[in-house]
Amino acid sequence: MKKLTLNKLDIDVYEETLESGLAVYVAVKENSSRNYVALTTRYGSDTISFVPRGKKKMIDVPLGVAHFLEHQMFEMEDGTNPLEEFSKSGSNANAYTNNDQTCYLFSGVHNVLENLEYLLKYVSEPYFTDQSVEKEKGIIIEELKMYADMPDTVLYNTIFKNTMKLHPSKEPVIGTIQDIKRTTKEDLYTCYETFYHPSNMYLLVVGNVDPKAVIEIARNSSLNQKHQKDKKESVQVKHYDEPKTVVKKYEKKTLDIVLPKIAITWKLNLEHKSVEEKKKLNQYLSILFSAKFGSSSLCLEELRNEEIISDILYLDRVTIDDYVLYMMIGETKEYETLLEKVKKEMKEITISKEDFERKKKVLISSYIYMSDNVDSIAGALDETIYYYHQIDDDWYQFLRNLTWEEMNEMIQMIDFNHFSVVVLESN
Amino acid sequence: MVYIKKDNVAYNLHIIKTKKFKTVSIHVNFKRKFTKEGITLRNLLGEVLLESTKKYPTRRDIILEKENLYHANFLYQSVRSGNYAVLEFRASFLNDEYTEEGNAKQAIEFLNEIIFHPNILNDEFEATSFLRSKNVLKEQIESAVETPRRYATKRFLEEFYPNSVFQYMGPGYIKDLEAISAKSLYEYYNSVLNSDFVDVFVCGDVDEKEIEELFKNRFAIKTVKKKTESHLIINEKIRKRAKIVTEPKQMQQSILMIGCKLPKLTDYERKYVGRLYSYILGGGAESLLFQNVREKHSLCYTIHSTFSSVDNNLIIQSGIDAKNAKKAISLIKKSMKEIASGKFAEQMIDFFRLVNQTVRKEILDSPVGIINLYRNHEYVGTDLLDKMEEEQAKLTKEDVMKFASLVKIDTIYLLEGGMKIEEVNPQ
Repeated sequence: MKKLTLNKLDIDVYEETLESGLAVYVAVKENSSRNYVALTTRYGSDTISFVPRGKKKMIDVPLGVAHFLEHQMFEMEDGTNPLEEFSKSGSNANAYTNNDQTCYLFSGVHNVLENLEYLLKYVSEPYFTDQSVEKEKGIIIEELKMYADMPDTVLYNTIFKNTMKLHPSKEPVIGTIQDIKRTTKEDLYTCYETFYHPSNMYLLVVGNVDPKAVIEIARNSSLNQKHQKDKKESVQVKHYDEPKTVVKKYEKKTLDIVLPKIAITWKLNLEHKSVEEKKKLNQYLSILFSAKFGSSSLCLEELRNEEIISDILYLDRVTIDDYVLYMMIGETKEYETLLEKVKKEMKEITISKEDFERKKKVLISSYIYMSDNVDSIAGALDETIYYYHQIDDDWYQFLRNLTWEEMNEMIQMIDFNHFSVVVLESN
Repeated sequence: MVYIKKDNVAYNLHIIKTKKFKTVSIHVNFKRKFTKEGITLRNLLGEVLLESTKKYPTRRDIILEKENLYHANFLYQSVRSGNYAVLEFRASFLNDEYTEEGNAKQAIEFLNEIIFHPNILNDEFEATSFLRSKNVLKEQIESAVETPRRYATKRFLEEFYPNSVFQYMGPGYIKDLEAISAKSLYEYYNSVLNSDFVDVFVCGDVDEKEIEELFKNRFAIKTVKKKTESHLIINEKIRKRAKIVTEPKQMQQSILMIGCKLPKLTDYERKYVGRLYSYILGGGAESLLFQNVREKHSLCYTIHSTFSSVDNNLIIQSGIDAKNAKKAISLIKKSMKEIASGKFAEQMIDFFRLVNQTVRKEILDSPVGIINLYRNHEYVGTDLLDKMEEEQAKLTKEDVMKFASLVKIDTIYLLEGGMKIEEVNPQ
């Protein structure tokens, strides 16, 4: 068991990788009543072509299988409902699927260790029947329709479709109605056996818990025991030679909305960068976009003075393999003027030293704020575990060491010329 | 944790001393009787005060200062609490230990600047910043009904409260907004300072004497003290036969909302039984609605009920397919009858107690949770944690059945979608 004390924060993190390959991380925050526990598999909606465990031939599965599988994990052979098991101690359980992760979690105050034991148990006992799969289709289709009616879903789906050419992240996590309808229990079992192997998963616990007890429970779980002697082999997943260019540079759609929305998405290529460089670049890029278009930027002030934007520009970031997508979303009738202004602003990829220092202060402060809330701690740790396979015990110093000079140097190496524009016009 | 309440004649100062957090949080609450016009006025006032002050004339100046104060947060929120409209200004900032000596004091000064030193020229709000704020609010009002759920809620309330002010909701109304001038808003601002009831809540590691002095010298509130009336809404007319309204809209999913108005309840029913009833009916995955409508019949993805102890009503919401509406409504009615006749697992009452045990503990994990606890205690007589636990322990099945006999459906509203779904293969 390795122990890390997070500099400046009242948090110790313990980590251990078990015999089966399951990585366990326990962040101890003594003054918290709430505990947050998440078991994650490094498998999400992007994985649709792969070689099943123990097989040799690459197969394709319908879109949305990862999400379908997440729904079906709540079916138990004895007819019990896992969510109810957690309610017995007043805890709250949930699950979610995104592009590259499926996560089963619970939070609560009491019986954390018992609940942890149960979490590890129910996620290791798949039980899918033709009947349960059929029943779930109606529920998932209603979920899809709920999202399809939201303008933001239309916007984001179009952004990904127009930015990514080959990579499956161009499709929605939930899939299409047709995919949902053709999903079978065999698809679910194949994906389960391949990706819910402990060596492809990690457990994260945050709260006032005894790390030794947590690791003991994980070690004794059948998830770990069953797979102790398995050969350590990584799953062969289809690789996509995703081009640096975007699919569509510009697309306009009409929708039942009041004010048009415009999204500008930069497709930035970070291949051949080391983990250390990627970590830094992520911070520098956030500083760059925030200083250029954030709520304290000169650009936004000008856009507001010219009455092009009334409130703010939304900034968002998504990492997909070696790419990172930076999005800027604005609501305005004058979207063409906004676009020209943004293009002009991006001609010079630099910010003032004063802006840099202020934004750095904000980053460091955010790091401190994060540590007062168990869910925020879990969010921050999950990001570093997922992307970097490690926890940094001195993130504080890492942030302090960022410099304006280094930022300028590193940002210069990035190609900002590939971007895609989506406009949702009101009908 | 120590709670101190000071009656400072013009306002109440509530100080909650705790060393648990790395932040100090301050909420300054203004309240007066709820009116339709007040909704837009109070939201605009919140916008204007955070757009410009005497010393920081543009919103960019304000945000730069927030960043300089180590990412201090300042925001407003305008909500209805039963008969009252509450305009709340919130500040949270890091303790000096994580920033520099004097930062916290400066942050309090800045909150004071925002609330008490607006940018006034010739007895009205400065024209440019006033216009900017008006535009921000205008957009918020227009886009508020873009998502089907918000639209459905707005329309439902209009049907549920046809002749009452409670049909109106935030963020406001365009006609009311157009009628507000920089001068009339300034007059309204003065009346807020002079006649709204004011409560200030401070939570964090603070010195109460210092806080008291700071507020005494800075907070220019001159309210003439009157007795505040009850926030609780009494339903004068309750329909015997439910009103049914169906409205078509271009969207894929349909949204069903069912509203029940309750007669005058005892304090115990209002504070405890109502929430338990709603928990059993539509609280979570074990609830009757979730089990009957989603799990057994696969008719929806979301379904839940909420009980408001202040508004004295119960509202059920679900996203369904239009063709299943009748079936869903009859299953909902059936579930309600089941509770009334005692056909529910008594275990649900234990689950409810356990969930609340968790909720009570988790309240203490966040400054906002703690402040809201004391605010609700002050405003609507919500019990404090120990008393809550005592009272929840007494809940019985008979309490729930008796309460169920009081719940009558008043309004059924269906926002009917059913657009053809695109079943195109995306490949």
